[in-house]
Amino acid sequence: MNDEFLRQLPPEDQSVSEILGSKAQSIQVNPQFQSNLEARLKQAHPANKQPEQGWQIKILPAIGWAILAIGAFLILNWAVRSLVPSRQPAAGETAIPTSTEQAFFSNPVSEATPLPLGEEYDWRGTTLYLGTQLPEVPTEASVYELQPEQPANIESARALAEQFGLDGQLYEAPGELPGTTNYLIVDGNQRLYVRSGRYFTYYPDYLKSNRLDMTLENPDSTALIDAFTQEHGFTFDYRITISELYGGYYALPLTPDGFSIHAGYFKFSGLLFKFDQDGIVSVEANLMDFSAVGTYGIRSADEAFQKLLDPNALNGVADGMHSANMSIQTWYRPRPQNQAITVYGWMSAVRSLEGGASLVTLDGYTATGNLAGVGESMENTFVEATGQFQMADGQEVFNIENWQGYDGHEEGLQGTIQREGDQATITTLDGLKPILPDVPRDLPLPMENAFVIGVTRGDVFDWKSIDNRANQGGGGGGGGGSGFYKLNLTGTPVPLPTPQDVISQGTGEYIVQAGDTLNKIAYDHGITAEELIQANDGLTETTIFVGQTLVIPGAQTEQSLIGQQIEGQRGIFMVNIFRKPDGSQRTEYSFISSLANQYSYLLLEGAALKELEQYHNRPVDIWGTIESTDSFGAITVKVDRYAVPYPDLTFQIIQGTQATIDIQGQSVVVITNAEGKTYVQFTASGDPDSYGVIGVAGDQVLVEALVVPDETFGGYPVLRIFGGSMAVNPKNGQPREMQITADKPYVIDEPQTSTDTTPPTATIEKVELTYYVKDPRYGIADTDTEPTFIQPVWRFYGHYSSGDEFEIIIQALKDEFLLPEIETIEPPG
Amino acid sequence: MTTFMSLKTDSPPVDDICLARQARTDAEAFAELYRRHVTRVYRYHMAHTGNVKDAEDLTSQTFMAALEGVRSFRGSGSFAAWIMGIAARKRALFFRGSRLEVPLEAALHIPTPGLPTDKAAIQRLQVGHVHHALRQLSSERSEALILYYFGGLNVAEAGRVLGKSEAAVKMLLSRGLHDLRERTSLSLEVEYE
Repeated sequence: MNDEFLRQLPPEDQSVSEILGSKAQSIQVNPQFQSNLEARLKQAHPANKQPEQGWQIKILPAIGWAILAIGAFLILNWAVRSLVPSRQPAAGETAIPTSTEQAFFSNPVSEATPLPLGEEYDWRGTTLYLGTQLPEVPTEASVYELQPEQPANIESARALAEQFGLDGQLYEAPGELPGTTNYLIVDGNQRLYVRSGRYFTYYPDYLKSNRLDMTLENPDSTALIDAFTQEHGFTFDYRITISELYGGYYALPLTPDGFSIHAGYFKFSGLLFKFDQDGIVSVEANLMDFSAVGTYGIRSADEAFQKLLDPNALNGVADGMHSANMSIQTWYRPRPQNQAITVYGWMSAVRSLEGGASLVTLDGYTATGNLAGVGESMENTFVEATGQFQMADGQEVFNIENWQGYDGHEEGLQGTIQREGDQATITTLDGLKPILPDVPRDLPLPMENAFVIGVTRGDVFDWKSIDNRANQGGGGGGGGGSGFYKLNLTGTPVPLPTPQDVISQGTGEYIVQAGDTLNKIAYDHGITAEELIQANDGLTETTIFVGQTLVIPGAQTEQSLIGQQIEGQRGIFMVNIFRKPDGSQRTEYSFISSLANQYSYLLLEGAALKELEQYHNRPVDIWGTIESTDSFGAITVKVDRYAVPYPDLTFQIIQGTQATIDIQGQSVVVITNAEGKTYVQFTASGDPDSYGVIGVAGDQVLVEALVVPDETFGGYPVLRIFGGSMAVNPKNGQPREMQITADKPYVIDEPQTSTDTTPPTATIEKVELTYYVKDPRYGIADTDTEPTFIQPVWRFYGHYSSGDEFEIIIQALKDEFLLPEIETIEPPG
Repeated sequence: MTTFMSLKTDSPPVDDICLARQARTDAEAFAELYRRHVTRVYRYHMAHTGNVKDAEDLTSQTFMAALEGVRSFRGSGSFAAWIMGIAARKRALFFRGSRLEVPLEAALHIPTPGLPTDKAAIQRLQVGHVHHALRQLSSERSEALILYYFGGLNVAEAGRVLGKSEAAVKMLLSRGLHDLRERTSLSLEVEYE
């Protein structure tokens, strides 16, 4: 308590006041609690999160979700993992290894090689290079309307099967959407899942596809795709593009004006082909049919790029990224054929639509034999089954002798696999050490961070697969942008709010705009969401509406500060040099003054400031105008004139002892030197200091200080303190030397993360006009009558220097064709 | 504004607002702010709750919220007032359900290393007593007193938290002291030395 209230206290209140004060002082924080909380806070700090997450938070301010795109894909896969036995070599054959080095998708850009540099821009804190030309396109583009999906029926499913050359059994399969059913046609090893003429998936060899985690590059992909589409009667025009995210190649049907259609982040409308070294492994269709609505004016690539760079343009822009793919190797449990064994796996049954027997599968294998107890249809159930793997009609099947539901569950263990004598064991992270039987000889041991799927049976872990996914680091993805504007094709433009509208209200009130959220409004006004809610009774995320007037609590809004004059304010001028790991740097000037001023902390701009650099940490008087405030609340002043009141003032090192004394009711720290001269300590900015005792009062200390002429307090001369330490090193009793360092500008290294990662730079490699529609595949049937439009967008695509892929999508239609209402973009992945 | 001299380094003391700006991306800057202000936040919560566990919980909540909100801290103010504002909101949410009745005897031990046991007992008594006494005041007056004495804010800063002018804060403080004197036995307390 260091102000005049105590000084003016009537005597009768003084003792109560002292009691309160001393009681307050007697409360100490439990040191262990204090340090525990400090550790938790450090850990929770964005700077200390994993590199992928840490800089994502910095770079993508409107981040929607970060999902483990690859991780999720894998988890889904291992849940239906098959027991694919390698063929045991018959006498005379050579053994087939159970895993092979595979050529996985490599990223077009490797991490080590520098990217070609084009022009450099700043994009939300990331350095962005434009590595390609902005294309010229016509000034108009089409808008299409998506037609409703026609679900398949038995006839259409059969027709599609014929198109694929399948002549087999037709089954009813659980539908993709809850509460629906789809179709399954099985012909030997081939399978076709059909939801409708738009959504179907074809597997030439189902077991093989089931086994692959990540599909492989195939140099003949184009030829194979062309052959396939011709053979199977797909007559549309298409172009082929690689998909890093899904590890395959897309055949993208083109719109009448020759463009492909984007259906979400890194997702296209088309046929997705996945390969292994032998050929096609799966074909997944995500097709659309649509009708033309009209042609409308679009913005140019340059205009779209400006919008991309504009930090105020959050609507009509969407961006997504995902981590580089991992290359995962999997080893499968070798299973002999024609031998009785017990396996643990997932069994399901689907009903025949032709009056035949149901199709029962166990981990993807067709199950035959004793199927008693399996209903006509059965959901994926984890079972224990005894039987034999056999060949039947060219297919590998599992012939069941008996089976039962397993009272337990499939597990994934992570740990280190090592050999112990003639056995292999895995030491898990929780310290268990089960035995792994039949470990393939080509499994590189010891193997750290192995991921093993199977079932615990006593001391043994009955495994079915081992892979190294855990060694590949986190996969990740993210996206942002608050949404696209809805389309206005009526011909009567509705004005979109501009950033100026948002800021210039200046009355302590704010009118909610389309696309606003509580957090965004709070952030824009430099307050917390909580403060906003408290100032507006009953305000919640769901009650907020466009056009609503909200009260913005707090003194002034940013707008009203701008233009205010600063007249001869005295403060300490500070030079801050921000240094990047690559050696580049920038200089910022800041200015701190005593709390008696309205603005005790300012950022300064102005050409003349360079001349002041020699006065770092010295008093300076400034005149200028408030130019801006950032969303953080810092005020920037454009300085047009300055004066240096004490040009010869330099720092001194003073040794003495400190004490806390009371001056006119205020408690302050004083320091007394060897000659007995006592100074009152002030902060660097010029306020009395009540806390700054080094060590314990009475210890010999050294302080680095400015003695500002004529600055006194309570009759004592003032020291402005810029640094201090004990005069004697407590460890060895030796006197310490103190150097003057306060006159050197502050050098701040950024970024200051605990892991030494430089934020990656991003390079735009491709700029194209394309079409976009929110993927309708997983939507629940629309109850509203609004049409779904396929609209032109500008797509900026490229890679970060880390190898991660990104894309930024900008609505291409001109503002006159957009409504100030937002529809949300589909999450990535 | 307080300048803290840390024993650890000879680096110049950085003021709170500078630190708060850095704390957005620098965990150590945030930690330094935490160290500077944890005591005042804790004392504030102790004065309100009268017990260590709740005070610790509220302190954790306060700083976790501060970690989230540090980027919306407006630089033209006092960081102490800002963080105490968060503390006040957390405390208000905490007490929304029911006011805790803490009988004097149940006021928990405040661990202060190095205190002989009998003195610790007196200390315990004192804080419980204060907490009890403060609750006999109007909530505005007790809040002003708690912010000022326990939160260590000056009149201007307390005014920011309370949403009142300095003059109004001074009024609350002096009336609060008056009420404490007249209505409670606080002034009869034997001074702990």
